Amino acid sequence: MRKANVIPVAIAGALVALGALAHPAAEIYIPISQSPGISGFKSYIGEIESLSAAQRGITMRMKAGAKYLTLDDSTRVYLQYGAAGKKNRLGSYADCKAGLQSEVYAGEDGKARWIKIQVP
Amino acid sequence: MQYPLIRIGVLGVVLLLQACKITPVPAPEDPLVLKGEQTFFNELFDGNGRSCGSCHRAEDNFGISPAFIAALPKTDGLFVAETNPALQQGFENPALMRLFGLILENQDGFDDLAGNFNMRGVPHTLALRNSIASRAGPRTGWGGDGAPGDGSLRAFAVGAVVQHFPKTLNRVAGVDFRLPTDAELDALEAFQLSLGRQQDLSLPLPLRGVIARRGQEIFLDNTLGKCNACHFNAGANGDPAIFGPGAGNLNFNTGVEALPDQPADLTGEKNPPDDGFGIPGNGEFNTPPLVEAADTGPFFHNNSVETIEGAVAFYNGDAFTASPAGQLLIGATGSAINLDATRVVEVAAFLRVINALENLRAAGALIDTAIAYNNGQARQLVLIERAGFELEDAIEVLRGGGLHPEAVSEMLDGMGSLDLARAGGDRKRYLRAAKTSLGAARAQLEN
Repeated sequence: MRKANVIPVAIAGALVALGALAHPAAEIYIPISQSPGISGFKSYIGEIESLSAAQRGITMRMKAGAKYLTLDDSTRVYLQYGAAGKKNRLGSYADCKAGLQSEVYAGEDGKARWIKIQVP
Repeated sequence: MQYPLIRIGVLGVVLLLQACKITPVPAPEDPLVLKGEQTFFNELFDGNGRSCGSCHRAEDNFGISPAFIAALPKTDGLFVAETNPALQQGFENPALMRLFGLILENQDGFDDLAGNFNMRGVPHTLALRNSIASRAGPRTGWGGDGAPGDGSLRAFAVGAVVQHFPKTLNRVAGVDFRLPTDAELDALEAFQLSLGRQQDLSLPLPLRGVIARRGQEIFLDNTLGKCNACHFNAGANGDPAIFGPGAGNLNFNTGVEALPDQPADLTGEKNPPDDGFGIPGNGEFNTPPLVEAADTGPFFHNNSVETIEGAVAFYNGDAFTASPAGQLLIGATGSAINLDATRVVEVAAFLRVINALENLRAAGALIDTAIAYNNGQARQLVLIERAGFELEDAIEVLRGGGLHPEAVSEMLDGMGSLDLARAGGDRKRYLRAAKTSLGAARAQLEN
């Protein structure tokens, strides 16, 4: 009989590996530059300078320079309307347009976990 | 020539006494924690009238139960969905709130408020210091993914304001609510971390009662109760010997969603299945600590089980056995959990006793802090009241299991002393008497 205090390491590892995939729903209502623990620490805040549609890429222009980032199927695109009276909603890469103020939270690989776009 | 020196000496003493009268005695509590407490219970964030304390009640172990809800006035901020026309649809389900203490969460998104929601119980905020950290990052809320931003406890308050505080369902920041400032987030985090146990137990405890002592054995036995694997030392963390060092707080799919006849479903009210962690969810839910379990029911993310005995018995049933966590346990240990009634009661008795011990510890700490204040300071009364809540819980927890009547008697004496302290007079004397009773009660529970 297998020892009672042993669980296969692979299974134990799987049980803890899923934390990185969380997408807390409330993020959509948090304005650009106000995400707790992210804005000012781990995100890119600036203007979308250009797009590379083939790779679903965007180049963000910030005070510190430019950064190329990509979106994929797991990236949440949050369309923010501010106090315009419209409810914020989910969007897609198609909503990324040059000149829009944005904030992108991306991993070290440059893949965006989420992008907030201030819709004029 | 000594008279001028005497005058100078007397003057010096007078000045010293004056200085003592002017300079206030430093508060024995951390100012940031106190600020966090004030924010937690009083700050409405320009929203619909709720505060964090609307759902996380100090009187109810920083959670909220149906019994507590039933005693609230209709004007309480908790019931804003019943009084604010803008929140009457898609914000709460008043029937399920009042019947089962369930709160509406849109943890999978706000796109379809009528159909995309779940009803969850309010998790308490005790022992968070040792219940959140994991290798995968902080785990908050029932799904373990409750916080936006960096996912931390500090960030959790932002998500809570967005979900629970808005004036309308547009949820526009700056219009329907305001977000907490960085200073407020720091204070709220400090306050929440200060609540309850600051470290995990180290089992086994030298318990005196034979039933609780046997329950502890079963709890720790990986061939019987197997509880310690996921609730290491009756806390919220996985056993490092099984899940690896630093595994911390883990998520599991234990099959609670597969339970038949869930109370909320019996009402006919819309109650969509809850898919747990992630969007879409993976069916897993976060592990809560067990030391605080016996007095913080109902149990599980959906308040589907009312009693601690029922919660223990859940792990005998088909829903758990067939679940991914149940199957994992069978694979690892060779068998399902299969406790007969007496053993279920024994494990529950163990949980009741360790909860009562924690109540006693917490009450003692609150009394010590109250003693550190001067008699008559307003804060002292707050602390005395909270100590009373802890003692009430301990009495209820032990009586509920028919356990340790002698300890209950000591605790009732302690309650009497707290009542005298509350009434005034030499509070510190009465508080010390209460502490003596607590010590006597504790001596009945463990060696």
